[in-house]
Amino acid sequence: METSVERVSDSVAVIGLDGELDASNYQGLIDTGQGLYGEGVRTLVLDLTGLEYMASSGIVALHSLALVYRGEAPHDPDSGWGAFHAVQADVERGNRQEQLRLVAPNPAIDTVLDRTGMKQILPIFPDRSAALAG
Amino acid sequence: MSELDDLIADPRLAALLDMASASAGGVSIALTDADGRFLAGAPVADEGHLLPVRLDDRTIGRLVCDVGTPADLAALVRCSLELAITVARDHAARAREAQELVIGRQIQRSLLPRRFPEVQGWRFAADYEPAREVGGDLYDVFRLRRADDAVVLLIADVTGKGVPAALLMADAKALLHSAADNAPGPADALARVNRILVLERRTSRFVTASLAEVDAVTGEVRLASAGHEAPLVVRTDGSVEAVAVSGPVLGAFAAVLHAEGSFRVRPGEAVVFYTDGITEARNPSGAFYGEDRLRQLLAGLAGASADDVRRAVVEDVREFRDGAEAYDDLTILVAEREPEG
Repeated sequence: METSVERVSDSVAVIGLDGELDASNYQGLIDTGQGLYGEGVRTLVLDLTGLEYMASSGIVALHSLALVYRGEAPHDPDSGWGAFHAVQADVERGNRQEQLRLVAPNPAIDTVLDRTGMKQILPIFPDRSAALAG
Repeated sequence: MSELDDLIADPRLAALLDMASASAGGVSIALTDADGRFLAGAPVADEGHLLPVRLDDRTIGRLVCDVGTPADLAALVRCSLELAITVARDHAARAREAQELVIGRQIQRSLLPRRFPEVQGWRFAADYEPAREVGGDLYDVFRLRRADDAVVLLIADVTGKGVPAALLMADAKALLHSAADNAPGPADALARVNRILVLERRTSRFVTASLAEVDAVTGEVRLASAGHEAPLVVRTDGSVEAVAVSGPVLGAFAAVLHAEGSFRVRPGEAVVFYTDGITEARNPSGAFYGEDRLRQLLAGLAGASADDVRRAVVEDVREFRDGAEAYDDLTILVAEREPEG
């Protein structure tokens, strides 16, 4: 999988994913996102336009990045879904989770995001500009 | 336990140091730990060379050589020691990984049912094929204790592999059984399990599941899903219906809503549950097997027995895969309502 990083501003970045996100590279995506957070990025857009396939590891990567961008500790497989819970609580109070945004998943990936419930928490936009506009 | 323990215990270390010493006229050469404590060789009175013995970026020991030792020899001995340590470490890591996968698979196998319950008017069939690195699929068929003539069909899939995934599946299986028995229906059962996984288990792995409660007499099925692929109902006229019911994966969100759907399986019809190891199976060109191909295959199996359906699907996937490696466990569970008469 190819990833491209666009630093839109000090606190906003876009990671473009091309190819396939699976068990072999999901950790690399988390590391990239974490690195950007360390540099001050607080809003991360994942452009999935070129992503052809996402395995279940991709869902784990999305969860981990949600943790990171909530300011939680870096991903640890046993650290729990605390971030998503916090985000869920926000959503229930009417506050939208905005730190992690997705762009244009293909139909198959969109189906997985929908079926697994990830869409409840992660906003999806049709293109980068819409995602950046929030 | 230090990385040097195995090295020190091996008599060939002393032999190596003796050989090096002898080749340089009997100079003393010693291996010490990182703090300088003597471990092997001959104690050195007059330090000439002090070379760190490194593993990755860490100094784990030192090679101390007498003043008369040629520098090349000292370097050669140090290199030999680092080679032995690194190779041993890498081998141990690989062996540990392989062992964990074996144990994970054993745990996971032990969770699968050895036989199906005898249920009047129904036949069940299932197949499970582990990938090389087992992902952790689960299926089960069991009678509900709280209702006569009620049978539960369960299929689940956990992310990750190895022992942690297998243990989560063992946990989820017990929770799902208990919840199915105690909750008033499958949606509530999934909600209960979800709550326990979210609040009491600290894990970022998640579980997809389909839970169906079958009335064996009427063929009515109540279905709930936690992010799992919709089961397919094969009608006698060859039509195939996906029963999609919404609900997020287990273990992710604190407050969830699992919808409940229902459908009826008439005599001669069957319902097929499967995991994404089937639809995401790939052939050597990288194409996916896909839901369409599965539905088309099932359409041609209207009225077939559970076992025939199971075998046909497994063979078709195998044929499609054409020798390409499987990256995910493949599971299929078929419940067929026997034709009348």
